[in-house]
Amino acid sequence: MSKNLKYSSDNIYDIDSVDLERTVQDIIVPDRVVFEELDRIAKTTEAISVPVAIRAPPSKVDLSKYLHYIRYQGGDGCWGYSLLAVWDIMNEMACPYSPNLSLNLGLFIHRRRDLWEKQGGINSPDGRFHSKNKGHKWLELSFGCTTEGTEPTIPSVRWTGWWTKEGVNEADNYRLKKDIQKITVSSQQFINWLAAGHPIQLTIVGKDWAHVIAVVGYDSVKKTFTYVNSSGDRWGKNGFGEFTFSEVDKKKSGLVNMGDAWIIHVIPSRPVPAARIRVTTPEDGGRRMNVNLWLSVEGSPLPKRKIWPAWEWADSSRSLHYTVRLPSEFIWPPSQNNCLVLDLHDSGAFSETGGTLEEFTAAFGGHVMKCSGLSKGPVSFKAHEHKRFYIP
Amino acid sequence: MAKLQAFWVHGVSAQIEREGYFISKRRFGFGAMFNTHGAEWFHFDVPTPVILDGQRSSLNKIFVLYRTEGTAKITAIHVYDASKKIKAYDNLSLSGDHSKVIDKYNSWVITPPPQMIFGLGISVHVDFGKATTGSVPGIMFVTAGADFTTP
Repeated sequence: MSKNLKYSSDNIYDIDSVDLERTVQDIIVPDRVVFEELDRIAKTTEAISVPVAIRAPPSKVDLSKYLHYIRYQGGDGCWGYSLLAVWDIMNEMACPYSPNLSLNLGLFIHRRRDLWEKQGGINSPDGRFHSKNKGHKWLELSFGCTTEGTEPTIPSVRWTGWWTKEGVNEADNYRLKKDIQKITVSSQQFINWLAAGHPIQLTIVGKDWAHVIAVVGYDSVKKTFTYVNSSGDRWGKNGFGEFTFSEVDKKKSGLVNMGDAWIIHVIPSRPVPAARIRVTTPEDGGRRMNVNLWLSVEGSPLPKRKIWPAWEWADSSRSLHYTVRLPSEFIWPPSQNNCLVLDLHDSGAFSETGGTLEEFTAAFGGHVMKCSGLSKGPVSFKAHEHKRFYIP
Repeated sequence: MAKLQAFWVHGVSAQIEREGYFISKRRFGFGAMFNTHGAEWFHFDVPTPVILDGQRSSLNKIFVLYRTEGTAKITAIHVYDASKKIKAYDNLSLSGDHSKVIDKYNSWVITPPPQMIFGLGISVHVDFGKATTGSVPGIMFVTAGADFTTP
């Protein structure tokens, strides 16, 4: 088993087994702008304790069951990706079948951070000016966040920064209630926050690097916290790793020091018509990046909406469990005369394994409709094959 | 004897307060259908004859004809003259099919009748309820209108 990251001939990271130290050293570039901003906030903000005393936190909390999409960040952006993992969980808890949030616009951290910082605000394309000086530290308080599959993606470009009308229309549904809050780093505080339904962003710091992960659960019997990284599902245990309680209390795990921790407060989103898709590829060599997915409405003159892959060509993950908003022209509910269509094409670009479509479901609130083509179980597809699935 | 005037709009003129993909909108020849969860305001702008035959008119009665589906119910009706709220009916719980004939669940007498200065707005607050497994709650607006009188 390799202990190091390396490029294989097809430019896919060969990650069999790596430790966090090596991973962050090799592929994570700290985002100075964000960390400087977080440092500034940290220095001017007192860490808060959980406001409501949890008299008897359960012995185990696992918020990972609300997290379906394991992101792969590739280069920098760990703070944004870990935050979206936290936000996805909170959305799914409050509103099942919430679409996965997107960093495509890179609003939080990169794309227009220069304007946000230097000009004190930014205009969204609907004409609103989002001012940094009116109590909104983050654009996600006023503009909100877009979802996966809405903005155009280019495989080689991480944050396109393209504003679309659809993105503007949906972003308001995914907003933060108030500024991101720093919390005390201690095992008991983490337990209390997790028991209260708050996943936690935790910064981890090495000699000359920093990284952010999302703590999503604990087990009081094993005395461990579970966190999700943003290096896909071939990292750690299907994308997850663990810290012990004592490591959190000591703020140190091996060579890694623990820095600040953060929670968010979100305005509960409202249900939107959404599709959930689960594709798996073989453990041995399978790549979700082979899979191309389009959603459309049967008979619609509008172009099929490309929903996958996202930008990251180096994503080595094998499974995709993904929730996206239905095409805006689709009128709920699906029916024989109003079919939702999923086009799946395996490009075979990264491996010849093919894979399996395990789920294709449409939901609007609690009203869930499943793909009739999967009624007898998952459907396999081969490399270079195109298949079409319908709801109902 | 007071002269009675009536002005109506079709249900497809209903405006949702907030736009977004959280609400499904369909507009038919027979009305406008909205399906979603949670609460939402809808607004009708009714043509308003503020002066008729040289006399200022007063608002006597308003009408909103509708049909609900699932857990949806109307919980409030607010009546505006431009930006001024002139009447509020709160704590309502109206559901069912009231889309075909005028009844006590889709018409409200305004007492005393206020003189209209600008334009009439009728705002309807709908609580669609929580997400349910069977279907998505909805409301169809068929038409809305008002009776005005002049001395």
